[in-house]
Amino acid sequence: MTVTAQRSGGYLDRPSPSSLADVVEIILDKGIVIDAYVRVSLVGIELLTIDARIVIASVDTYLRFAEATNRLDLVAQGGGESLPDFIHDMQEGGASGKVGGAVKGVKNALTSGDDDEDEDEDERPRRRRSSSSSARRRSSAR
Amino acid sequence: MTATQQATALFVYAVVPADRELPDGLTGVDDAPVELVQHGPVAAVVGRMAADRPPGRRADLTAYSSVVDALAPEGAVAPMRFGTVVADHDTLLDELLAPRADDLAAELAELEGTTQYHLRVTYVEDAVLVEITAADPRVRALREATRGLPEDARVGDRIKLGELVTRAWERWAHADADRILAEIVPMVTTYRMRREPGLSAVLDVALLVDRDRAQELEDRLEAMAAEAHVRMRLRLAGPMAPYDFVGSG
Repeated sequence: MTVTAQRSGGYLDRPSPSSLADVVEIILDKGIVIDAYVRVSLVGIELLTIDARIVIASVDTYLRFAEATNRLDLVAQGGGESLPDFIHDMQEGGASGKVGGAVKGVKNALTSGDDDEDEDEDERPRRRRSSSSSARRRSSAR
Repeated sequence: MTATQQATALFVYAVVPADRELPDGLTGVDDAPVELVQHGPVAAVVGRMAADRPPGRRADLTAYSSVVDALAPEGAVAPMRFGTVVADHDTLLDELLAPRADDLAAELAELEGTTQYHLRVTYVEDAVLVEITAADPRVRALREATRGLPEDARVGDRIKLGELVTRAWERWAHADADRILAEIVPMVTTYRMRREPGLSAVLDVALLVDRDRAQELEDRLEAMAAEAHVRMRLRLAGPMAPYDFVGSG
């Protein structure tokens, strides 16, 4: 399994097709289903897909965006001159938020270490809601 | 074969046209050899796995995707949902192949010559926040009113600020998603939105593309990524099997 490969030199991010984080994100709930014959028990995997997909529109989210907006150093208010710095921050992980963080967490949880599927580091502090986790389970069991 | 049937079940990876040959030495879940079970115009791609556990380990998932990935470049392939396991050949024939062979064959015929990509576009958060702040005087005012104060001060204003920013973000995501789609839709056979434009992604879409146009699409997206990189990231996975375009679901 390759983890991540940049296949082109440009700005387009080209993850390796077999990167496990992408496999989880892209194909886990796809494909032809014969009723009653999908018998997945996602050991250490089901937690992973979830929070990458949801950002809850809630007071929490509002406060997070307010905080992110206030954190900006608008050197050139109304302009974009300071963008490179912001982008740099973003690439450092910055406040890109739950999504990037969660996906990174998925990748780490899945690709780090050995093949012991029971170990995982999934108690991510930002995991707030498990509702879509049960939805996922339902859809997998369909 | 009967001897091993007590202990094993069949993991079903995909369905392919009956005349397909498997790559030599292809193995899958449990490192078991992958084989074909033919019925009429189609063949199921299967492998034995231990029957005493459901699949779901990370090794199972990567084995599954490796097998399907190995089949995809050779021609049409209809992936089964990960975790499809049947007891034996008879069940496979009775439950999948016999009742659905014709439908599956038709589906495979439609997929012939195509491949799937997955495009995910996200905002560079800070860049877009700068734009939103610049565009909306109310955001600027609330920002000035709450900035530098303790977290528990003027919570109402903070929530209002965050709400304005969030709403603007969602509107912009929809607009940018529409713009991007308008550029690439002419190059694809069909597409499926995997998620509405919103906070977590501007665009999250599966694209079914004629192989002959794949390079054109990749080149176009590369150019768009370069053009937009200050405020957006474009991530293109694939080519891959048409996971999003089988089984009408």
